[in-house]
Amino acid sequence: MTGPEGVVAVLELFVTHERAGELGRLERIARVAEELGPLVERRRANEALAASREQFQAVTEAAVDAIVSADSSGRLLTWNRGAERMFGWAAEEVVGRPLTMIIPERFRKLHTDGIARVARTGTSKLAGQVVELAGLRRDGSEFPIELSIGSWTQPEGLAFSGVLRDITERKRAEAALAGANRELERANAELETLVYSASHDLKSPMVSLLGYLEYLRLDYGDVLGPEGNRYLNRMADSTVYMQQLLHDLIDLSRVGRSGVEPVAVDLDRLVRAIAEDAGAANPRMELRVGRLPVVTGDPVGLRQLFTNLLENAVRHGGRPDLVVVVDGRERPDGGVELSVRDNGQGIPPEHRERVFGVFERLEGPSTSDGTGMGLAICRKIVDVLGGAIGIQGDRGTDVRIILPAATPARWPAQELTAGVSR
Amino acid sequence: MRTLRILLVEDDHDHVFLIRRALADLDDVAVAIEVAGDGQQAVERLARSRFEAGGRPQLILLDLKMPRMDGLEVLRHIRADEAARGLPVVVLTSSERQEDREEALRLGASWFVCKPTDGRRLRSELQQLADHWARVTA
Repeated sequence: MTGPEGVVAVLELFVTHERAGELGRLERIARVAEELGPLVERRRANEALAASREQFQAVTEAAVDAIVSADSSGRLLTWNRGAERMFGWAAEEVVGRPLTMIIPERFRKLHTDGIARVARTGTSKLAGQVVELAGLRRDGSEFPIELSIGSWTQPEGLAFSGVLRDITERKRAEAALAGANRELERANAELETLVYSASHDLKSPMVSLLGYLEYLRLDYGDVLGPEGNRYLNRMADSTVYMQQLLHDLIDLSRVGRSGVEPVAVDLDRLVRAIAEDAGAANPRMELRVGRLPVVTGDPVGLRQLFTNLLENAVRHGGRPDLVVVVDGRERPDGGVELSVRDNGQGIPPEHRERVFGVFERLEGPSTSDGTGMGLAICRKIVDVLGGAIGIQGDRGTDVRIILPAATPARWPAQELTAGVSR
Repeated sequence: MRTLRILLVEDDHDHVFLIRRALADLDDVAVAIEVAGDGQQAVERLARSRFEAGGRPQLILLDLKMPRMDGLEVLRHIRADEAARGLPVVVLTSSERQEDREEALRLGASWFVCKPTDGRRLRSELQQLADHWARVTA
């Protein structure tokens, strides 16, 4: 038996013997089979349709979301339990009525224009998308919804299905989070401004103090005697140290404040220049620079980052023949990993996080060992770039910096086979 | 010995003292220092000096951070003033803020001198300045 789509069933007939005088019987049977074919097919289709409807019904009725459908003129065709709960209308109250009844007044024109456009063009630009809108409840109250629209063609024309989700809670949480973030940012900015201006204001008296100390030594040094001069020197050292602290505080609060446009920074050139200065001051040390990329960032911040790291290595390495290696590699995710490692005395694992704090030093204060803010500044610079910085290594100190793939980097075309050059 | 007339624009009394001290024993040149306590005073002093024969300053030492009118504003005034335009202005700075320095240069600062964190350094910078003045006005 055949239908429009081809064979739908096979009818088998058995005869034990052919009787004479019944010519055309086979042809009649064939004709009956021909008429039976479409009937069988239609019956099967109806059964499938009923099953599919039942399935659709079961799914939509169980859904928490509102699931509705409408025809091309915007009249509601179906309305599930979720929709009843969400909008306060029962299915029998709304089916057949225009969809605009669940749309706030001010959005209705947009909706009717959209319907008209669909009628004209035969397509919907919203179909297949998820949009955020406002819904209107039976009691007149509004609430935010997320709507995903599907469309299909039925004999009467285009029809739409909509899955609507009440996102009141999500919106509230988002707003609360955004508010908290704004507050945090404001407090942070205020604190940084305070630190910045306080350190700036402290610089002026510090300048006076150093000036007077200088002239005290010059004009009255003879009268003070050796012990008096020793006091003077201690005062001057402390004042210089305090001044250095102020400079570092200003640096720390400046990172991320300046709003500098990121530019391409050649780390190879940058690090080599710093290494040259460091090497000149420490002739027995060995500074190697490996393969470093050109990254996009704040040149002042990046210079400070590597200056601080090299300075730290040299200052805390604890041996005159220290070897410091600065190297880089590309990460599989497109990010950049940089390392500054040395064979010095290293940092015990339990202190590796602490040293990134402000004013943290492992050896206690002294004027020659820095202010303890160098690594805090480094961390902030890397934070601004969206990266991470940490310390690892079993022998010596190995500072690793990871910059995200979002910090566009360009690597030298050819890998230097030696990896490291002096 | 020739005398260099300086208008020092500085609000901090200690800094005024220390700069006076550094300028007191320059070689080969004597300095006469007049002090303006803020930008407003400096601008008024310059306007007045136009009518004082021999009283006009030959060099301005200018602090950037001051109440009422800051150093950059004073610089703007001086460069816009027909009579004062040619005066060399040396900016006194303890500011590492690159923007301040760039702005000062853009507005026509002639030189920078570091605030007296180090008396010897300040003195040597001011000595260089005085030598330069002696050469160009000889």
